[in-house]
Amino acid sequence: MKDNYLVVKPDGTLINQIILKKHKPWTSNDLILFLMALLSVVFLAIFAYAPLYGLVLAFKKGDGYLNISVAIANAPFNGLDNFKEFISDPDFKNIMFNTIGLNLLQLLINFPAPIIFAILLSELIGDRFKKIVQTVTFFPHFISWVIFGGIFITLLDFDTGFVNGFLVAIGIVPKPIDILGGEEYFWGLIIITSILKGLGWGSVIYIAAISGIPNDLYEAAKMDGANRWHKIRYITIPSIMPTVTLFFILSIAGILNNGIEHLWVFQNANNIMRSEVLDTFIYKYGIPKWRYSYATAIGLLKSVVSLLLLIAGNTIVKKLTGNGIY
Amino acid sequence: MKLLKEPYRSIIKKISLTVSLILLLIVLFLGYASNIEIDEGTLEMYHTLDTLFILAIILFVLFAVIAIIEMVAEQKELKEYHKKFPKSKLNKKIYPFDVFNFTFMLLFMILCIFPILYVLGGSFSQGRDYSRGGIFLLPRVFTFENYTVVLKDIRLWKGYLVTIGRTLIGTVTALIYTSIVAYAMSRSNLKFKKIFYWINIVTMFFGGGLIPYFLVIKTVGLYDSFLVYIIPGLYSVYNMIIISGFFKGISNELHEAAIVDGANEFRIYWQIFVPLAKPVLATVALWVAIGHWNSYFDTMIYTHSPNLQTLQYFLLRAIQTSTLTEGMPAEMMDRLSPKTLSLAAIIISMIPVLFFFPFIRKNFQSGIMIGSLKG
Repeated sequence: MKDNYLVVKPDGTLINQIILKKHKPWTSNDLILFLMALLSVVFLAIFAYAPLYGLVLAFKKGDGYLNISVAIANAPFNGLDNFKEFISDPDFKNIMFNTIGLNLLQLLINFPAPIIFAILLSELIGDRFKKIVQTVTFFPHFISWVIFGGIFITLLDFDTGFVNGFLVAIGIVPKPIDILGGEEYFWGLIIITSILKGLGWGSVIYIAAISGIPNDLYEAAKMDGANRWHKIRYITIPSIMPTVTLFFILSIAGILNNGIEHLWVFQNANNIMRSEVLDTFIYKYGIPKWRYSYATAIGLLKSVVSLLLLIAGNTIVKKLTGNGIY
Repeated sequence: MKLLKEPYRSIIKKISLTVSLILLLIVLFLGYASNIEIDEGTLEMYHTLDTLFILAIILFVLFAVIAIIEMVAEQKELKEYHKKFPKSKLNKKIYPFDVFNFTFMLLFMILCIFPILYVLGGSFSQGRDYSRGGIFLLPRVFTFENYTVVLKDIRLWKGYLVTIGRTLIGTVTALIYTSIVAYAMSRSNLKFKKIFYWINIVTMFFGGGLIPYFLVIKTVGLYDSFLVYIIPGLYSVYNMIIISGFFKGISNELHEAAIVDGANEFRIYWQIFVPLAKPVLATVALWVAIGHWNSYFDTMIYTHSPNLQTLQYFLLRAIQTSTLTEGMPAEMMDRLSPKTLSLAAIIISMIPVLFFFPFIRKNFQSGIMIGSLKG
């Protein structure tokens, strides 16, 4: 190991002295720390890097093997055949349309919703009421998608559900609507349920950001005659912008990840045309049908596109606002 | 009149107020239930209904009295306080926007609460009657039978056992494992720190995907074993970063003093840093625990034996494929419907979350602040 030092000699000249450092022997504490950190490497080697190696399956003909470690060792390479098969699959267009469409919709509606909610909440009069609202809207986050989905399946049921009964009773619709079975309602269903479940929770981070804005700013603005809208527009929004950008980039990166636990509860044979996305497709082909190579290839395609989107999103946001995540 | 000293008083007031409100709802509901038609499956429980009704009234009066006493005392104190320090009269004008905002929030809260109340009402409905439709909140024919049938189902209890087991064991082990690494990563004297850092960070952006992960689970022998719920969840890079951010904030002098006293790094971590990091550890523990409690996809992918089914998976099956009515005698099938049964199952599985929610909510909010500052 080399270190450079500038040394001033007694006569006033400056020299650049190179000192060779000795390797210090490790103390027992260094070793303990090293072993502690090594735990992460052990875990990640098995559960993060080994699966990366498993990606070679995407380029092999490993479908239908009983044991998938045998598949990875013995299956012959077949180049890009798995990818080609997926692209020529009759469902390909549909799945891509659902995956991207559903996610764009979520990005457009579910991303800004918590921000608006947080701003509205900060404008609310009455601290006690504010707290109650926060607690109540928080709650759905803590129950699972199974329970939440189960509740909504009950509410929206064709014959017995509350929603249909209510809509028919007040005369908005003449006949009950099959919301759960109709493919045209599926996206709306997903958007609305994820807003209801995630709005309170998603807004917490923005509420924290808003409560960190110094109060003098608002008081100074008031002196200058700013109304409520001006305060929101020129103080609140610019102050929370860094948080917003960070989460925006992260949600762009996750654009191909539909919450599978969410979709799975609502998916059924009648709405499959609009509810089949990459994640559910990979699961169905990979696990129950043993098409390991095929599903791996689709998964790889998905990760690559996600990564590209992350990079692109970060670059664009960095150009526009000057801050990104790396 | 004061019942208790200050720090406990506001808590007592809050709890008794909440409990008495809940009891009031129960009293009203039971009162309503005893005036409507009772399903034949519940007839022998009729007396239980009366007993419950009386019990609920007594408890309600008890809690309400405590709450009222405490509230009156508080009001008196407030009055005295305002005599000494008069309220500054800020006349806040109420704009139409405020009214709109208030109404919107109120509606949204109703939207969050109503579905749960509806499910509660439905779970006390007779299945045959419920299937006719048109129930808006309260049952037309009251029954306990949905609950008795679901509570007798052995799969529910097995599911509960697996879920509680994985939540407890999974959370504790994950917390220990992740915080050990977090401690090492927070020390500046860790050798090869940069390399460790990058090994961790890379995994946040690249992943093998479902199938290669499944392959690894099978190869290391975790498939269809209880440990598949525990071991893959031991470590998370994200949580490690959060915890180690907190560790970094703990003053270095403590560490130096401990070193001088001859403690080794592991002892410093365990006896000094872990106790100091309780707030962040509690927050992460809650994240992990909620994740364990709510997940069901791992049951679907990594297990096939019925003994490993979690509560959420049992529920999913009950909702999607009406497994609850399997092998039921015909005269019971006539009264019950899979729908109301699954509603009772939903309520039963929600009880622990409902019970713990008030305790964890506060911690969660403060924890998120920690996360947002450090992460």
